[in-house]
Amino acid sequence: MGSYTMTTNQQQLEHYLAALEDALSGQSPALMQDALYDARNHLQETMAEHSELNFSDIASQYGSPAEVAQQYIALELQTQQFLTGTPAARRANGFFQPLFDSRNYQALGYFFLAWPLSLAYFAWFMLVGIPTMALSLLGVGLPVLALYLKLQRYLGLFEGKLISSLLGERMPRRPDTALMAKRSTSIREKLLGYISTPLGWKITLYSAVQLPLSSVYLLCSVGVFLTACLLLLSPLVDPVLHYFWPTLPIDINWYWLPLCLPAGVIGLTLSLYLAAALSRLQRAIARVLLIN
Amino acid sequence: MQDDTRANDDELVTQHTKKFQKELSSGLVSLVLLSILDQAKTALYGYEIAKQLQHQHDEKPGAIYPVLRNLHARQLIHCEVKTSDSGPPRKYYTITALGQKVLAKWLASWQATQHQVNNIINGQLHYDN
Repeated sequence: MGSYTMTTNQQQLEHYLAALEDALSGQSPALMQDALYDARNHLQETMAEHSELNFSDIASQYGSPAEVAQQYIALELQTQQFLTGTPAARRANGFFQPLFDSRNYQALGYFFLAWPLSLAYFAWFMLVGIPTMALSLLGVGLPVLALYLKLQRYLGLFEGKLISSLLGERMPRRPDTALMAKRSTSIREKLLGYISTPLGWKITLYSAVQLPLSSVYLLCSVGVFLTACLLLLSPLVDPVLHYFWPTLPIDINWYWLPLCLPAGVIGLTLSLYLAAALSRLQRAIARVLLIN
Repeated sequence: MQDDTRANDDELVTQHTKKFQKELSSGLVSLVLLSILDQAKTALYGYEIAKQLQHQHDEKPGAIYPVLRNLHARQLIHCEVKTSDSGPPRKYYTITALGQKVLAKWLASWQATQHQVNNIINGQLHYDN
């Protein structure tokens, strides 16, 4: 008991959060991050406002880690059911199923946006990240490196929002503020904290590899999709265009339609299969690299 | 022996009451949270909302945050992270247009339910007398 009362409120807070994290084990990292953020912020605000209360009172008022975890898990289930709906009955057209799944079109939208964004991430990595890392080898650049790694977390949050809205993967909606929140630590320790925790580095790796990855995504999904669209539309549109502007050559004439129509539809379906597979890949990468 | 039974009964009553309160509040917390945000003139952050609700409803804050998260996922409230002078950045919540529409419907159904329940309870009392 003696040693227990010796521990400061801050240490007890960390104990509480560790217990909450334990109680949430097995849940999605996004849910964990949100729950820990809420608990940390609330408990700290209460501690700051009611310095006369001891931590165990504050914590029991907030709810035990098990209780709180149970609430998050129960509501997450509800939310997921609400957002994704009850699983729809599978259509009979097995092979062409992806054509009727709106998530595949959203994934195409993501791949379309991801390429220019990844170009910007790559430029930011090459123009700021690499020089910062080189400078930090000399020692003087360490604060700048810490700042860069801190900014990376916001980049991760932004990309996470895009991924959660277009690819449907639950990503953190709140910044991971464990480092910023530790009031007792000095600025020096905070800066070192940014450098020694993996999240900033992982997001840096993400901003470096996203360009080649998104190029593949764009080519394999959006590229195939657009080619299939052209194949489908050319026999219909080309002769019409040629009628009004005779100088325009006909690429594929109307009598190819019986061949182009099934080939185009199969091409579209294949591109959506590819989009679904690449979306799974990208979600797995995001889970590893963008979440603490 | 009798004391034992009484203590047992008391415990059961407490358990039943707790369970009832939990079930009752689980549906109402969302309504109350939306109402608070609807009435607020400015965006509120989680701690402020929890404090208000705690004063009035004795709701545990740990149970409020997951509901806020759920309302946000359902796009009934909007959330913005802003830095604060003291400590970590705070999440500020406002009600969305969809949230306001939903709240109006919820309030109507709450009032209808309240009316019905009161009618039944009061009717029961008349019957007893």
